[in-house]
Order: sequence, then C-alpha cells, then structure tokens
Amino acid sequence: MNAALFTTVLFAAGIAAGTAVRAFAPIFGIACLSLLVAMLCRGKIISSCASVATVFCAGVCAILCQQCAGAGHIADLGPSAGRVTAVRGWVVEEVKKEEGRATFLFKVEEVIFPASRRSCHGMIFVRCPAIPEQRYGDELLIEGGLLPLRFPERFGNRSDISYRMSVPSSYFIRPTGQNKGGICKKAAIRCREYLRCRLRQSLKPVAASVMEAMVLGEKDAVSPVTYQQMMRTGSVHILVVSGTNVAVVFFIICQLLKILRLPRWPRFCVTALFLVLYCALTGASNPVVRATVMSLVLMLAFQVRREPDIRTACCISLLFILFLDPRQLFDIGFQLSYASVLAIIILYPRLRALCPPLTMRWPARALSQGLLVSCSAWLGTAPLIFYHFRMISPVAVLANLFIVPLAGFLMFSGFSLMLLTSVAPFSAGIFSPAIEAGVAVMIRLNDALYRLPWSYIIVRQ
Amino acid sequence: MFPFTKQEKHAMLFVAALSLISTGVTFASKNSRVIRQVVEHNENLGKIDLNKADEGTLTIVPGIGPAIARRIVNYREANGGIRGLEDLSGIKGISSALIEKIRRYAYVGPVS
Repeated sequence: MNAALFTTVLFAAGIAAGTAVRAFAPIFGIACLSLLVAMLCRGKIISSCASVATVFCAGVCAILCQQCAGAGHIADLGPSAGRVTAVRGWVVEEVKKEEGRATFLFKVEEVIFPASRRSCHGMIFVRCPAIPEQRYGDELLIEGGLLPLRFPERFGNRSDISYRMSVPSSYFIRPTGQNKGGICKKAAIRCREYLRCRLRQSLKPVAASVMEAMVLGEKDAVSPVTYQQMMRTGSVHILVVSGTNVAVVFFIICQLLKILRLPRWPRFCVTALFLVLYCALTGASNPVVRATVMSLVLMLAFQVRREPDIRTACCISLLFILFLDPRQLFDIGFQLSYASVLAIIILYPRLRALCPPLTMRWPARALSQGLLVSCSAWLGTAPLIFYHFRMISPVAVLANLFIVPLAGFLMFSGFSLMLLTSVAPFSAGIFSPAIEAGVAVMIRLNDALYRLPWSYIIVRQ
Repeated sequence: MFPFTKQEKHAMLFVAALSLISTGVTFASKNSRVIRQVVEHNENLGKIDLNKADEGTLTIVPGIGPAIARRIVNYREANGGIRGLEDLSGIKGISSALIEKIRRYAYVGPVS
C-alpha cells in the first residue's frame, strides 16, 4: 500500500476513534512515547509499529483538541443563555442576504446579562434584517436572546457554534467598528462581489445564477428546484467549485503565462499564487482546497523532477485538510469529494483494464473513456449517497457523460467572460449568447434526464 | 503569416469559437422554433410543471412537503388538471403567501 495512503487512513481512523474517547492526556502521552520509540529504536518492526501508533494517536488528539471548547466558551452558558440580552463581537464570514434577511456567523467576545456582562468566546448564527453596508469584519452589538440551534448538522455539528439569535429589527443591531477580520479575506470577498456583478450585468438571471455557482462557488444563487433536480441526477457537483474548476483555472493561467514567456520557476510561483487566490476567492471549500493542494503538490513534483503521483497528492491534500480541521472527516461534502476522486484514481484504471482495448477513433474513444470515468465516480460515491440521502441515481452515469463536458465549456466561457468584461465591459455580447444557450441546454437536458423512468430511487426510511 | 505561439493560437481560437457559437445561436434562435425552444431563457426555465410533476418532484419546491404534494396530485386527478396557480388556493394547507412562493419555482403547463 502507498505509504501516504496508509498514513492518511491511519490518521482518519484515529479521528473516527477520537469521537468515542474523552481523555486527551493519556492519548497524547502515548503519541509522544511512540514517537520517541519510532525515532530512537533501530528495529524495523518496532519502529514501524511505533510510527503507526503515533499517527493513530495524533488523529485522536487532533479531534479531541478541536472538540474541546475551552474555558469561557459561549456553550458553557447553559441554561443561563436565555437571560442574555445582548452580545458584542464581529462578523466572521461573508453576510448572505436573501429576501430582505441577512444571515451570518458572529464571533462573540462579550455577552451582556440584565445586570452584568461576561467575556467569552465561540460563535453564534445570526439571522436579522438585511442592512446594505453589513459585511465581513463588522464589529456589532446585537440585542436579543440566545436560542439553541435548530439544525446543528447544517454547521457540520461544529462544537464552536452553540446558539442562534434571531433579530426582528435592524434597530437591535448597533455597529461598533469595522476593524476586525483578515485583509486577505476582505479582499477575496470584495473581489467575489465584483465578479458576481460582472456576471449579473452580462447574463440573464438564470444563466448568471448558474455561472455564479460554477465559477465562484455561490451555490445559494441557484434555484432550489434546479439544485435538487441536479442532486437527484447526480450532476450537482458541477454547481460546486471543485477540481474541475481548479483544473480550468490552472490551464488558463498556464496558457497566459506561456504567452508571457515567463521562465519555469517564476511561472510555477505565479501559477501557485493564482491557484491559492482562486481558492480564497471561492470561499476555500473542501473540494477547492483538495484540488488546490493536489495541483500544488503535482506541480512541485514536476518542478523538482520527481515522479508525480496522484495518489500521494490526494493523500497530502486530505491530511492537510484534516490537520486544519479534523471535523471535516464527518462532512458529507468532504466524504463525497474524496470518494469520487479516489474512485476515479483507483477504479478507472481497473475498469479500463476490464474493457477491450479502445482502438476506435477519438470521438468514440473519448466517449467510452468519459463513460468509464463517470462510472468509476458513481461507483465510488453511490454507497455514501445511499447512506446519507437514502437515494440511488442510476441516471448519474448518463447525466455526467453529457453534462460534465458542457459544464467544462461553460466554465471556460465563464472565466473568459469575467476576464474580458473586467477589462472591456462592452465585450460581454461576444460571449453571453453562447453561455446563456449553454446554461439553458444544460438545465433542459438535466430536466429531461430527471424525468426518465427510474432515473433516481429514493428509499424511504 | 501568423507569428503566434501554440498557446496564443489556442487562446485566440477559443475566443473566436465562442463568438462564432454566440452568433450561430443568436441567428438559429431567430429562425428556428425548435432551437429557440431549447436555448431561450423563458420564464419557465428551471421551473416545475405542476401538471406533470409527480409527488416526489413537487416536494422539491420550497414550501411543499409530502402532504401538500399528495393533495396537489389528488386535486389534479380529481379535476383533470390545474388551470392556473390560483386553483391551488382551494387545496388545504396552501395559503396565498405559499402560492406566491410556489410561483417562483413552478408554473402551470398545458393540461394533458
């Protein structure tokens, strides 16, 4: 077994086991001891066993550390949370505005009771009337009571988000400053807003919403009907910024830099920088971080003239995400993202070997290869989709065969549109009819596939 | 004649292809009804036809749960179809506010 894959599996197993453990100190002690043994012992078997124990215990420690809220956390308020009259803190993510209401995550720094106040930390989910200037980094004093979260699973059961606050009027929200938040994140949000405006100005509403999802990762912009239909046909992944988008960005940057005729290492650095910027721009969701880290690892392998191994790159990206936030292991999006990639990496060559040699001409060959890739991804994700959603989508193989190439074309066109209209806004007319037609065809094709008999099966519990 | 690199040619060809597709789509949609039906962004694009959708599909519409979906299907079968969104007001559990919400995600197609 690949060493990186083995390490990743062990670390993930440690994280899974960590959910059933409470004692941090003994596990941490075992991890330190086994690390010491692995470093000092010369016996190959003992050293290997100690390494295994170290990685496994590191996984357990990582999840235990994340789950520990710490002293003064807002979750410790317990029954007294109902007596809170106001909270002071700042907005930690982009404010989502819809139908006159705004929702955001709010990092609490102080809670105010009727007769006292107390410093604390942790996050709450706030729903309030939309205020035009409200944005990430705003410091606010919000009046209202704290209520338990209705759907904790919506936040991936994060232990640091404990309560929600529903504010009926903007009268109860007082800005106290605008100095919080990272400069990079602020810049990424501004840039995303700018690009969103460019798309909305250039395209019709439905096309703009789909392109926002495909290019900028704004899946909330897509109509719930389209989103659900695509979910049932197994093609919803194209509405999420993922490896395909990163591949398209990578390709465009490489082509542009080759036109500029930059030398090899500066080209690598600039490409890496743009990939990281794109990752930040799209909100750094799991699939983008995965694809970005994988691309960087593969690029670096090329640069230092090592043999690029896609499995190792995938495992490094998985370890990277799990090191940053071990709770992601239990996130459905994370599981599906890696299941599909690993299935393509592992199953596709095997399926291809099973099939007779592909000696036909390129359109037929491309079609059969696409079918095999689609089949591999479906086989990899079907058990997880059934487990989480009680759904099987036999039409997914067919849907992806047609929709993915169309989505690839739309992504290229979308990026070109954004680039071109940023420089010359009047040029939107060159691309917009093609993009709008592409989006319309994609939605209608998906609708037709969705209406096929047995296109999806929902098993009721 | 064209002192461009391979990448420059690719970039220019892509822009040319895209603008050609745009022109072709615009022309074809003006002259062919079939193509217009496929590529045009009419008000029903991405919406559900209340006269064709089954129970499972109706539950996709925000605000419609399994119970209301069943009632809509029963109403449709009993009355030979839905003639307008206002017909839904006769169904138990559907308020005028919900009809307005449904209007954003569904439409009433021809009765089959």
